[in-house]
Amino acid sequence: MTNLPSDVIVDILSRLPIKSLARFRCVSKLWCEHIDDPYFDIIHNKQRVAAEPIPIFLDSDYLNLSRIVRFQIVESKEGSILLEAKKNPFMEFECERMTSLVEGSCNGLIYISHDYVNNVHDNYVYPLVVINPLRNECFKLPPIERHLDYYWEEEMSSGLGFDDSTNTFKMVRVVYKRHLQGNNKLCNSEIPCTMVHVLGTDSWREIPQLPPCAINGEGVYAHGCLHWLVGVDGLDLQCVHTDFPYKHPHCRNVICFDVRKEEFGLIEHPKETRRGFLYYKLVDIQGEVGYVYHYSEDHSTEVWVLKQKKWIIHCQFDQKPPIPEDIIEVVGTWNKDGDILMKTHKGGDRLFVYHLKNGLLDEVNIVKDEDYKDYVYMYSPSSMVSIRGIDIKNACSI
Amino acid sequence: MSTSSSSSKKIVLKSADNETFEIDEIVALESQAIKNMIEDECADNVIPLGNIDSKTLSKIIEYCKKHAESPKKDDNADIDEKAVEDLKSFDAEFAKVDMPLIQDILMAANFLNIDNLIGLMCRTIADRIKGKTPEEIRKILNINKNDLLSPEQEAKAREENSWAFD
Repeated sequence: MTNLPSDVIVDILSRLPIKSLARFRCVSKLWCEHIDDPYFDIIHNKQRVAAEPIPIFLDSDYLNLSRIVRFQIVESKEGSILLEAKKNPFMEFECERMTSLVEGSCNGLIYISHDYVNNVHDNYVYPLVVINPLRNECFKLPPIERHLDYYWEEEMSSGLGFDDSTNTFKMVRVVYKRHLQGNNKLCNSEIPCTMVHVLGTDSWREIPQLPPCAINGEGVYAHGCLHWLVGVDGLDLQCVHTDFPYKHPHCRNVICFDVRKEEFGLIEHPKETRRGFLYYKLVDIQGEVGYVYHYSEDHSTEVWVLKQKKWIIHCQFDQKPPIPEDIIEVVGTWNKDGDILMKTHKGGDRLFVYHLKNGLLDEVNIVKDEDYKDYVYMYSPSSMVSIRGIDIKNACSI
Repeated sequence: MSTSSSSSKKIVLKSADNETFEIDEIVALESQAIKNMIEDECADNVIPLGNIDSKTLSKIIEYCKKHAESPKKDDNADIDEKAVEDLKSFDAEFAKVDMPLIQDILMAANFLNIDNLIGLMCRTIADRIKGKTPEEIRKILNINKNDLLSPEQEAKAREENSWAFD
Protein backbone atom coordinates (compact mmCIF):
# COMPACT_ATOMS: atom_id res chain seq x y z
CA MET A 1 0.00 0.00 0.00
CA THR A 2 1.40 3.39 -0.95
CA ASN A 3 1.37 6.39 1.33
CA LEU A 4 -1.39 8.91 0.87
CA PRO A 5 -0.35 12.15 -0.85
CA SER A 6 -0.06 15.35 1.19
CA ASP A 7 -3.16 17.11 -0.14
CA VAL A 8 -5.26 14.07 0.75
CA ILE A 9 -3.77 13.93 4.26
CA VAL A 10 -4.61 17.61 4.73
CA ASP A 11 -8.15 16.91 3.51
CA ILE A 12 -8.53 14.13 6.10
CA LEU A 13 -6.99 16.20 8.90
CA SER A 14 -9.26 19.16 8.16
CA ARG A 15 -12.26 16.98 9.01
CA LEU A 16 -10.98 15.92 12.42
CA PRO A 17 -11.98 17.42 15.76
CA ILE A 18 -9.32 19.57 17.43
CA LYS A 19 -8.69 17.03 20.17
CA SER A 20 -7.70 14.38 17.62
CA LEU A 21 -5.42 16.90 15.89
CA ALA A 22 -3.71 17.75 19.17
CA ARG A 23 -3.04 14.05 19.66
CA PHE A 24 -2.01 13.38 16.07
CA ARG A 25 0.78 15.95 16.09
CA CYS A 26 3.02 13.11 17.18
CA VAL A 27 1.97 10.64 14.46
CA SER A 28 4.80 11.77 12.17
CA LYS A 29 6.89 14.79 11.23
CA LEU A 30 4.71 15.39 8.18
CA TRP A 31 1.48 15.29 10.20
CA CYS A 32 2.95 17.63 12.79
CA GLU A 33 4.00 20.08 10.08
CA HIS A 34 0.55 20.00 8.48
CA ILE A 35 -1.27 20.52 11.78
CA ASP A 36 1.05 23.36 12.87
CA ASP A 37 0.75 25.18 9.57
CA PRO A 38 -1.24 28.40 10.11
CA TYR A 39 -2.87 27.92 6.72
CA PHE A 40 -4.08 24.50 7.77
CA ASP A 41 -5.82 26.20 10.65
CA ILE A 42 -7.76 28.33 8.18
CA ILE A 43 -8.83 25.26 6.18
CA HIS A 44 -9.79 23.49 9.40
CA ASN A 45 -11.89 26.44 10.59
CA LYS A 46 -13.83 26.38 7.32
CA GLN A 47 -14.92 22.79 7.97
CA ARG A 48 -16.41 23.97 11.28
CA VAL A 49 -15.90 20.67 13.08
CA ALA A 50 -17.85 21.04 16.31
CA ALA A 51 -15.57 21.07 19.34
CA GLU A 52 -16.55 19.72 22.72
CA PRO A 53 -16.08 22.62 25.16
CA ILE A 54 -13.81 22.04 28.16
CA PRO A 55 -14.65 23.55 31.55
CA ILE A 56 -11.60 25.49 32.70
CA PHE A 57 -10.63 27.72 35.57
CA LEU A 58 -7.92 30.33 35.81
CA ASP A 59 -5.80 30.00 38.89
CA SER A 60 -3.40 32.74 39.90
CA ASP A 61 -2.51 32.03 43.48
CA TYR A 62 1.12 32.26 42.64
CA LEU A 63 2.93 35.52 42.48
CA ASN A 64 4.24 35.39 38.97
CA LEU A 65 2.70 32.20 37.77
CA SER A 66 -0.80 31.67 36.48
CA ARG A 67 -2.32 28.34 35.63
CA ILE A 68 -5.24 27.19 33.59
CA VAL A 69 -6.82 24.24 35.29
CA ARG A 70 -9.25 22.04 33.45
CA PHE A 71 -12.01 19.96 34.88
CA GLN A 72 -13.07 16.48 34.00
CA ILE A 73 -16.40 14.86 34.67
CA VAL A 74 -15.84 12.17 37.29
CA GLU A 75 -19.46 11.24 37.80
CA SER A 76 -22.62 11.86 35.84
CA LYS A 77 -25.97 10.61 37.04
CA GLU A 78 -29.51 11.85 36.84
CA GLY A 79 -29.76 15.23 38.52
CA SER A 80 -26.07 15.74 39.15
CA ILE A 81 -22.74 16.04 37.46
CA LEU A 82 -19.50 15.92 39.43
CA LEU A 83 -16.41 17.74 38.19
CA GLU A 84 -12.87 17.41 39.42
CA ALA A 85 -9.95 19.70 38.68
CA LYS A 86 -7.10 17.87 36.96
CA LYS A 87 -3.91 17.89 38.97
CA ASN A 88 -1.67 18.74 36.05
CA PRO A 89 -2.53 22.19 34.76
CA PHE A 90 -3.84 22.63 31.24
CA MET A 91 -1.16 25.24 30.88
CA GLU A 92 1.05 27.30 33.11
CA PHE A 93 2.38 30.70 32.20
CA GLU A 94 4.44 33.41 33.74
CA CYS A 95 2.50 36.56 34.28
CA GLU A 96 1.86 39.11 36.94
CA ARG A 97 -1.23 38.46 38.99
CA MET A 98 -4.26 38.13 36.74
CA THR A 99 -7.98 38.25 37.33
CA SER A 100 -9.54 34.87 37.75
CA LEU A 101 -11.93 35.50 34.91
CA VAL A 102 -11.55 34.77 31.25
CA GLU A 103 -12.80 37.94 29.62
CA GLY A 104 -13.55 36.55 26.19
CA SER A 105 -12.46 34.33 23.37
CA CYS A 106 -12.22 34.02 19.62
CA ASN A 107 -11.35 30.94 17.53
CA GLY A 108 -9.80 29.10 20.46
CA LEU A 109 -7.77 32.01 21.82
CA ILE A 110 -8.82 33.46 25.16
CA TYR A 111 -7.93 36.75 26.77
CA ILE A 112 -7.51 37.79 30.35
CA SER A 113 -6.78 41.09 32.02
CA HIS A 114 -4.81 42.01 35.10
CA ASP A 115 -6.84 42.61 38.21
CA TYR A 116 -5.20 45.85 39.12
CA VAL A 117 -4.29 49.05 37.38
CA ASN A 118 -0.72 50.07 37.49
CA ASN A 119 -0.92 53.75 38.23
CA VAL A 120 2.47 55.34 37.89
CA HIS A 121 2.77 59.05 37.15
CA ASP A 122 -0.83 59.16 36.03
CA ASN A 123 -0.13 56.74 33.21
CA TYR A 124 -2.94 54.28 33.32
CA VAL A 125 -2.00 50.89 32.03
CA TYR A 126 -4.56 48.28 31.11
CA PRO A 127 -2.71 45.12 30.27
CA LEU A 128 -4.30 42.23 28.43
CA VAL A 129 -2.93 38.76 27.84
CA VAL A 130 -4.01 36.52 24.95
CA ILE A 131 -3.57 32.80 25.43
CA ASN A 132 -3.86 29.72 23.30
CA PRO A 133 -4.10 26.92 25.87
CA LEU A 134 -3.81 24.30 23.12
CA ARG A 135 -0.32 25.49 22.26
CA ASN A 136 0.82 26.56 25.72
CA GLU A 137 1.29 30.04 24.41
CA CYS A 138 0.65 33.37 25.98
CA PHE A 139 1.10 36.77 24.46
CA LYS A 140 1.13 40.02 26.42
CA LEU A 141 -0.47 42.88 24.54
CA PRO A 142 1.25 46.23 24.70
CA PRO A 143 -0.47 48.51 27.23
CA ILE A 144 -2.68 51.37 26.19
CA GLU A 145 -1.08 54.33 27.84
CA ARG A 146 -3.03 57.51 28.12
CA HIS A 147 -2.28 60.56 30.14
CA LEU A 148 -5.15 61.44 32.38
CA ASP A 149 -5.46 63.76 35.27
CA TYR A 150 -7.04 63.09 38.60
CA TYR A 151 -10.52 64.13 37.54
CA TRP A 152 -10.88 61.69 34.69
CA GLU A 153 -11.97 58.16 34.88
CA GLU A 154 -11.80 55.53 32.21
CA GLU A 155 -13.94 52.57 31.45
CA MET A 156 -13.61 50.20 28.56
CA SER A 157 -15.08 47.30 26.71
CA SER A 158 -12.96 44.86 24.78
CA GLY A 159 -13.37 42.11 22.26
CA LEU A 160 -11.12 39.75 20.36
CA GLY A 161 -12.00 39.13 16.72
CA PHE A 162 -10.59 37.49 13.64
CA ASP A 163 -10.12 39.24 10.32
CA ASP A 164 -10.29 36.54 7.65
CA SER A 165 -9.14 38.87 4.87
CA THR A 166 -5.72 39.20 6.49
CA ASN A 167 -5.87 36.12 8.75
CA THR A 168 -5.06 38.21 11.78
CA PHE A 169 -6.57 38.50 15.21
CA LYS A 170 -7.61 41.96 16.31
CA MET A 171 -8.17 43.11 19.84
CA VAL A 172 -10.68 45.96 19.92
CA ARG A 173 -11.13 48.24 22.93
CA VAL A 174 -13.61 51.06 23.23
CA VAL A 175 -12.38 53.41 25.89
CA TYR A 176 -14.57 55.99 27.60
CA LYS A 177 -13.00 58.92 29.28
CA ARG A 178 -15.35 60.49 31.76
CA HIS A 179 -14.92 63.60 33.81
CA LEU A 180 -15.47 63.16 37.52
CA GLN A 181 -17.26 65.91 39.35
CA GLY A 182 -16.51 66.93 42.91
CA ASN A 183 -19.22 64.69 44.34
CA ASN A 184 -17.77 61.78 42.41
CA LYS A 185 -20.85 61.40 40.23
CA LEU A 186 -20.27 61.05 36.55
CA CYS A 187 -21.15 64.07 34.52
CA ASN A 188 -22.18 63.90 30.89
CA SER A 189 -18.92 64.77 29.26
CA GLU A 190 -17.85 61.47 27.88
CA ILE A 191 -15.21 61.00 25.24
CA PRO A 192 -15.09 57.58 23.63
CA CYS A 193 -12.30 56.32 21.45
CA THR A 194 -11.79 53.04 19.61
CA MET A 195 -8.42 51.35 19.76
CA VAL A 196 -7.36 48.37 17.64
CA HIS A 197 -4.39 46.10 18.18
CA VAL A 198 -3.38 43.48 15.62
CA LEU A 199 -1.95 40.46 17.42
CA GLY A 200 1.73 40.16 16.75
CA THR A 201 2.34 43.89 16.28
CA ASP A 202 3.66 46.06 19.09
CA SER A 203 1.20 48.92 19.30
CA TRP A 204 -2.40 50.05 19.36
CA ARG A 205 -3.88 52.36 16.80
CA GLU A 206 -6.84 54.65 17.24
CA ILE A 207 -9.47 54.34 14.52
CA PRO A 208 -11.94 57.12 13.65
CA GLN A 209 -15.02 54.85 13.90
CA LEU A 210 -16.98 55.07 17.13
CA PRO A 211 -19.89 52.93 18.33
CA PRO A 212 -23.28 54.65 17.73
CA CYS A 213 -23.83 54.54 21.48
CA ALA A 214 -21.95 53.36 24.52
CA ILE A 215 -21.16 49.66 24.73
CA ASN A 216 -21.01 47.39 27.69
CA GLY A 217 -18.98 44.45 28.94
CA GLU A 218 -16.94 42.07 26.82
CA GLY A 219 -17.58 41.38 23.15
CA VAL A 220 -18.95 38.13 21.77
CA TYR A 221 -17.32 37.15 18.49
CA ALA A 222 -19.24 35.40 15.72
CA HIS A 223 -18.99 35.35 11.91
CA GLY A 224 -16.42 38.10 11.57
CA CYS A 225 -18.16 40.51 13.97
CA LEU A 226 -17.85 41.45 17.61
CA HIS A 227 -21.08 42.07 19.53
CA TRP A 228 -21.70 44.09 22.66
CA LEU A 229 -24.79 45.19 24.52
CA VAL A 230 -25.66 48.86 24.61
CA GLY A 231 -24.94 50.32 28.02
CA VAL A 232 -22.26 51.79 30.18
CA ASP A 233 -22.22 50.25 33.62
CA GLY A 234 -19.70 47.52 32.81
CA LEU A 235 -21.90 44.69 34.03
CA ASP A 236 -22.44 41.56 31.99
CA LEU A 237 -25.94 40.97 33.28
CA GLN A 238 -28.29 43.88 32.65
CA CYS A 239 -31.79 44.49 33.96
CA VAL A 240 -34.82 46.54 32.85
CA HIS A 241 -38.55 46.50 33.47
CA THR A 242 -40.47 46.09 30.22
CA ASP A 243 -43.23 48.50 31.31
CA PHE A 244 -41.00 51.40 32.27
CA PRO A 245 -39.28 53.78 29.93
CA TYR A 246 -35.89 52.49 28.97
CA LYS A 247 -32.73 54.11 30.18
CA HIS A 248 -31.57 54.61 26.65
CA PRO A 249 -33.30 54.66 23.23
CA HIS A 250 -31.15 51.74 22.15
CA CYS A 251 -31.43 49.93 25.45
CA ARG A 252 -31.11 46.13 25.03
CA ASN A 253 -29.92 46.46 21.44
CA VAL A 254 -26.64 45.03 20.23
CA ILE A 255 -23.74 46.98 18.81
CA CYS A 256 -21.70 45.00 16.32
CA PHE A 257 -18.26 45.67 14.93
CA ASP A 258 -17.14 44.23 11.59
CA VAL A 259 -13.59 43.12 12.34
CA ARG A 260 -12.51 43.24 8.70
CA LYS A 261 -14.07 46.57 7.70
CA GLU A 262 -13.64 48.08 11.16
CA GLU A 263 -17.14 49.51 11.13
CA PHE A 264 -19.82 49.60 13.79
CA GLY A 265 -23.46 48.67 13.31
CA LEU A 266 -26.63 48.23 15.34
CA ILE A 267 -28.71 45.06 15.73
CA GLU A 268 -32.13 45.10 17.28
CA HIS A 269 -32.73 42.90 20.33
CA PRO A 270 -34.98 39.82 20.19
CA LYS A 271 -38.61 40.49 21.02
CA GLU A 272 -39.41 39.60 24.61
CA THR A 273 -42.27 37.16 25.12
CA ARG A 274 -43.18 38.11 28.69
CA ARG A 275 -43.40 41.27 30.75
CA GLY A 276 -41.89 42.45 33.99
CA PHE A 277 -38.34 42.54 35.21
CA LEU A 278 -36.07 41.34 32.50
CA TYR A 279 -32.45 40.33 32.90
CA TYR A 280 -30.45 40.08 29.72
CA LYS A 281 -26.96 39.34 28.54
CA LEU A 282 -24.96 38.16 25.51
CA VAL A 283 -23.21 34.80 25.47
CA ASP A 284 -21.30 32.70 23.00
CA ILE A 285 -23.51 29.81 21.90
CA GLN A 286 -21.36 27.43 19.85
CA GLY A 287 -19.69 30.21 17.92
CA GLU A 288 -22.93 32.17 17.44
CA VAL A 289 -24.13 35.24 19.32
CA GLY A 290 -26.54 34.15 21.99
CA TYR A 291 -28.96 36.56 23.68
CA VAL A 292 -30.36 35.48 27.03
CA TYR A 293 -33.58 36.78 28.56
CA HIS A 294 -34.35 35.85 32.11
CA TYR A 295 -37.86 36.80 33.27
CA SER A 296 -37.44 36.99 37.02
CA GLU A 297 -41.18 37.14 37.81
CA ASP A 298 -42.13 34.16 35.65
CA HIS A 299 -38.95 32.27 36.57
CA SER A 300 -38.36 31.58 32.93
CA THR A 301 -35.30 31.78 30.71
CA GLU A 302 -34.94 32.10 26.94
CA VAL A 303 -31.80 31.76 24.87
CA TRP A 304 -31.90 33.32 21.41
CA VAL A 305 -29.27 32.89 18.71
CA LEU A 306 -28.52 35.29 15.87
CA LYS A 307 -28.67 33.42 12.58
CA GLN A 308 -28.60 35.24 9.26
CA LYS A 309 -29.47 38.51 11.00
CA LYS A 310 -32.52 36.96 12.67
CA TRP A 311 -33.00 35.94 16.29
CA ILE A 312 -33.90 32.25 16.46
CA ILE A 313 -34.91 30.63 19.74
CA HIS A 314 -32.26 28.15 20.94
CA CYS A 315 -34.15 27.01 24.02
CA GLN A 316 -36.67 28.12 26.61
CA PHE A 317 -37.00 26.62 30.06
CA ASP A 318 -38.76 27.28 33.34
CA GLN A 319 -37.05 27.40 36.65
CA LYS A 320 -37.86 24.35 38.69
CA PRO A 321 -36.03 22.33 41.33
CA PRO A 322 -33.14 21.80 41.75
CA ILE A 323 -32.68 25.42 40.60
CA PRO A 324 -33.38 27.81 43.51
CA GLU A 325 -35.61 30.84 43.06
CA ASP A 326 -32.93 33.22 42.02
CA ILE A 327 -31.76 35.15 39.01
CA ILE A 328 -30.28 32.79 36.48
CA GLU A 329 -27.14 33.80 34.70
CA VAL A 330 -26.34 31.76 31.61
CA VAL A 331 -22.60 31.06 31.33
CA GLY A 332 -22.44 29.37 27.93
CA THR A 333 -22.81 26.00 26.26
CA TRP A 334 -21.95 22.90 28.22
CA ASN A 335 -21.27 20.54 25.32
CA LYS A 336 -21.52 20.31 21.57
CA ASP A 337 -25.19 19.36 21.81
CA GLY A 338 -25.78 22.98 22.82
CA ASP A 339 -26.89 22.23 26.41
CA ILE A 340 -26.81 25.34 28.59
CA LEU A 341 -24.60 25.96 31.62
CA MET A 342 -25.94 28.55 34.06
CA LYS A 343 -25.32 29.75 37.56
CA THR A 344 -27.23 31.21 40.49
CA HIS A 345 -25.69 33.24 43.29
CA LYS A 346 -28.16 33.27 46.19
CA GLY A 347 -26.75 31.47 49.21
CA GLY A 348 -23.50 30.64 47.44
CA ASP A 349 -22.77 30.00 43.80
CA ARG A 350 -24.45 27.02 42.22
CA LEU A 351 -24.09 25.66 38.70
CA PHE A 352 -26.72 23.90 36.61
CA VAL A 353 -26.95 22.35 33.17
CA TYR A 354 -30.12 22.42 31.10
CA HIS A 355 -30.33 19.55 28.60
CA LEU A 356 -31.97 20.46 25.31
CA LYS A 357 -33.01 16.95 24.36
CA ASN A 358 -35.03 15.96 27.40
CA GLY A 359 -35.50 19.25 29.25
CA LEU A 360 -33.81 17.86 32.37
CA LEU A 361 -31.75 19.91 34.80
CA ASP A 362 -28.54 18.72 36.44
CA GLU A 363 -26.67 20.41 39.24
CA VAL A 364 -22.93 20.64 38.68
CA ASN A 365 -20.74 20.11 41.72
CA ILE A 366 -17.01 20.34 42.01
CA VAL A 367 -14.93 17.95 44.07
CA LYS A 368 -13.22 19.68 47.01
CA ASP A 369 -13.02 23.27 45.90
CA GLU A 370 -16.40 24.95 45.72
CA ASP A 371 -14.79 28.35 45.17
CA TYR A 372 -14.18 27.44 41.57
CA LYS A 373 -17.88 27.62 40.83
CA ASP A 374 -18.00 31.29 40.12
CA TYR A 375 -15.17 31.07 37.63
CA VAL A 376 -15.90 28.04 35.49
CA TYR A 377 -15.41 29.03 31.89
CA MET A 378 -16.46 26.84 28.98
CA TYR A 379 -13.48 26.90 26.70
CA SER A 380 -14.01 25.89 23.08
CA PRO A 381 -10.80 24.27 21.86
CA SER A 382 -11.12 25.21 18.21
CA SER A 383 -7.73 26.24 16.97
CA MET A 384 -4.19 24.94 17.02
CA VAL A 385 -3.01 28.25 15.61
CA SER A 386 0.23 29.41 17.11
CA ILE A 387 0.25 32.97 18.38
CA ARG A 388 3.92 32.98 17.44
CA GLY A 389 2.89 31.95 13.95
CA ILE A 390 0.68 34.99 13.74
CA ASP A 391 3.58 37.06 14.96
CA ILE A 392 5.89 35.89 12.19
CA LYS A 393 3.22 36.35 9.55
CA ASN A 394 2.65 39.91 10.61
CA ALA A 395 6.31 40.65 10.72
CA CYS A 396 6.48 39.46 7.11
CA SER A 397 3.47 41.39 5.88
CA ILE A 398 4.53 44.74 7.30
CA MET B 1 -34.77 9.11 -15.86
CA SER B 2 -31.91 6.72 -16.43
CA THR B 3 -29.33 8.04 -18.82
CA SER B 4 -27.86 4.67 -19.72
CA SER B 5 -28.98 3.23 -23.02
CA SER B 6 -27.46 0.77 -25.38
CA SER B 7 -26.85 3.42 -28.02
CA SER B 8 -24.78 5.74 -25.78
CA LYS B 9 -21.06 6.01 -26.32
CA LYS B 10 -18.92 3.50 -24.46
CA ILE B 11 -15.55 3.86 -22.80
CA VAL B 12 -13.34 0.94 -21.87
CA LEU B 13 -11.14 1.09 -18.78
CA LYS B 14 -8.33 -1.38 -18.22
CA SER B 15 -7.11 -2.13 -14.70
CA ALA B 16 -3.55 -2.85 -13.57
CA ASP B 17 -4.31 -6.57 -13.59
CA ASN B 18 -5.53 -6.29 -17.20
CA GLU B 19 -9.23 -6.60 -16.59
CA THR B 20 -11.37 -4.46 -18.87
CA PHE B 21 -14.53 -2.60 -17.89
CA GLU B 22 -16.90 -1.24 -20.52
CA ILE B 23 -18.90 1.71 -19.20
CA ASP B 24 -21.12 4.46 -20.58
CA GLU B 25 -19.24 7.64 -21.35
CA ILE B 26 -21.54 9.55 -19.03
CA VAL B 27 -20.32 7.37 -16.14
CA ALA B 28 -16.67 7.91 -17.07
CA LEU B 29 -17.26 11.67 -17.13
CA GLU B 30 -17.63 11.61 -13.34
CA SER B 31 -13.85 11.50 -13.41
CA GLN B 32 -12.44 14.93 -14.20
CA ALA B 33 -9.22 13.29 -15.42
CA ILE B 34 -11.01 11.05 -17.95
CA LYS B 35 -13.24 13.94 -18.96
CA ASN B 36 -10.15 15.98 -19.81
CA MET B 37 -8.72 13.08 -21.79
CA ILE B 38 -11.92 12.71 -23.79
CA GLU B 39 -12.15 16.45 -24.42
CA ASP B 40 -8.53 16.56 -25.52
CA GLU B 41 -9.30 13.60 -27.75
CA CYS B 42 -6.45 11.61 -26.33
CA ALA B 43 -8.70 8.84 -25.09
CA ASP B 44 -8.49 5.86 -27.43
CA ASN B 45 -10.93 3.01 -27.19
CA VAL B 46 -9.22 1.65 -24.11
CA ILE B 47 -7.95 3.78 -21.22
CA PRO B 48 -5.24 1.92 -19.31
CA LEU B 49 -5.17 2.56 -15.57
CA GLY B 50 -1.88 0.99 -14.60
CA ASN B 51 -2.06 1.94 -10.94
CA ILE B 52 -5.62 0.80 -10.14
CA ASP B 53 -6.42 -2.87 -9.57
CA SER B 54 -9.69 -4.44 -10.72
CA LYS B 55 -11.18 -4.70 -7.21
CA THR B 56 -10.71 -0.96 -6.64
CA LEU B 57 -11.76 -0.05 -10.17
CA SER B 58 -15.03 -1.96 -9.95
CA LYS B 59 -15.86 -0.07 -6.72
CA ILE B 60 -15.03 3.22 -8.43
CA ILE B 61 -17.28 2.35 -11.37
CA GLU B 62 -20.09 1.36 -9.00
CA TYR B 63 -19.81 4.79 -7.39
CA CYS B 64 -19.62 6.72 -10.66
CA LYS B 65 -22.62 4.84 -12.12
CA LYS B 66 -24.80 5.73 -9.18
CA HIS B 67 -23.70 9.34 -9.14
CA ALA B 68 -24.02 9.75 -12.91
CA GLU B 69 -27.60 8.46 -12.73
CA SER B 70 -28.58 10.78 -9.92
CA PRO B 71 -29.74 14.31 -10.69
CA LYS B 72 -26.94 16.81 -10.18
CA LYS B 73 -27.32 19.51 -7.53
CA ASP B 74 -26.35 22.35 -9.86
CA ASP B 75 -28.68 21.16 -12.65
CA ASN B 76 -31.71 22.64 -10.98
CA ALA B 77 -32.28 24.01 -7.56
CA ASP B 78 -35.32 21.96 -6.62
CA ILE B 79 -34.26 18.36 -7.08
CA ASP B 80 -36.41 16.14 -4.99
CA GLU B 81 -35.21 15.39 -1.50
CA LYS B 82 -35.75 11.68 -2.00
CA ALA B 83 -32.99 11.52 -4.60
CA VAL B 84 -30.62 13.35 -2.23
CA GLU B 85 -31.47 10.96 0.60
CA ASP B 86 -31.08 8.00 -1.70
CA LEU B 87 -27.60 9.13 -2.74
CA LYS B 88 -26.66 9.74 0.88
CA SER B 89 -27.59 6.23 1.95
CA PHE B 90 -25.79 4.84 -1.10
CA ASP B 91 -22.64 6.71 -0.05
CA ALA B 92 -22.95 5.44 3.52
CA GLU B 93 -23.29 1.84 2.30
CA PHE B 94 -20.51 2.29 -0.23
CA ALA B 95 -18.06 3.40 2.47
CA LYS B 96 -18.65 0.27 4.55
CA VAL B 97 -15.45 -1.47 3.44
CA ASP B 98 -12.15 -2.15 5.16
CA MET B 99 -9.46 0.48 5.62
CA PRO B 100 -6.98 -0.83 3.02
CA LEU B 101 -9.69 -0.72 0.33
CA ILE B 102 -10.82 2.74 1.48
CA GLN B 103 -7.28 3.96 0.99
CA ASP B 104 -6.97 2.28 -2.41
CA ILE B 105 -10.23 3.89 -3.50
CA LEU B 106 -9.03 7.23 -2.19
CA MET B 107 -5.73 6.98 -4.08
CA ALA B 108 -7.57 6.00 -7.26
CA ALA B 109 -10.19 8.72 -6.84
CA ASN B 110 -7.40 11.20 -6.32
CA PHE B 111 -5.69 10.01 -9.50
CA LEU B 112 -8.91 10.06 -11.52
CA ASN B 113 -9.93 13.35 -9.90
CA ILE B 114 -13.41 12.41 -8.69
CA ASP B 115 -14.10 15.19 -6.23
CA ASN B 116 -17.14 13.79 -4.41
CA LEU B 117 -15.52 10.42 -3.94
CA ILE B 118 -12.32 11.96 -2.53
CA GLY B 119 -14.50 13.86 -0.06
CA LEU B 120 -16.45 10.76 0.89
CA MET B 121 -13.32 8.69 1.47
CA CYS B 122 -11.57 11.44 3.46
CA ARG B 123 -14.66 11.86 5.61
CA THR B 124 -14.82 8.11 6.18
CA ILE B 125 -11.16 7.90 7.19
CA ALA B 126 -11.52 10.93 9.49
CA ASP B 127 -14.53 9.31 11.19
CA ARG B 128 -12.68 6.07 11.70
CA ILE B 129 -9.42 7.48 13.02
CA LYS B 130 -10.63 10.36 15.19
CA GLY B 131 -10.63 8.39 18.44
CA LYS B 132 -7.43 6.45 17.80
CA THR B 133 -3.97 6.79 19.35
CA PRO B 134 -0.95 7.97 17.33
CA GLU B 135 0.44 4.41 17.37
CA GLU B 136 -2.77 3.04 15.89
CA ILE B 137 -2.76 5.73 13.21
CA ARG B 138 0.76 4.83 12.17
CA LYS B 139 -0.34 1.25 11.66
CA ILE B 140 -3.68 1.96 9.98
CA LEU B 141 -2.34 4.52 7.54
CA ASN B 142 1.03 2.85 7.04
CA ILE B 143 3.06 5.89 8.07
CA ASN B 144 6.64 5.85 6.83
CA LYS B 145 8.96 4.85 9.69
CA ASN B 146 11.59 7.32 8.51
CA ASP B 147 9.15 10.15 9.11
CA LEU B 148 8.62 9.58 12.83
CA LEU B 149 9.45 12.28 15.37
CA SER B 150 12.51 11.73 17.52
CA PRO B 151 11.72 10.40 21.02
CA GLU B 152 12.46 13.87 22.44
CA GLN B 153 10.21 15.62 19.91
CA GLU B 154 7.45 13.13 20.54
CA ALA B 155 7.72 13.54 24.32
CA LYS B 156 7.49 17.31 23.87
CA ALA B 157 4.46 17.08 21.57
CA ARG B 158 2.76 14.76 24.07
CA GLU B 159 3.46 17.11 26.93
CA GLU B 160 2.20 20.16 25.02
CA ASN B 161 -1.05 18.40 24.21
CA SER B 162 -1.44 16.17 27.26
CA TRP B 163 -5.13 17.18 27.48
CA ALA B 164 -5.82 15.37 24.22
CA PHE B 165 -4.62 12.01 25.52
CA ASP B 166 -7.39 11.21 27.97
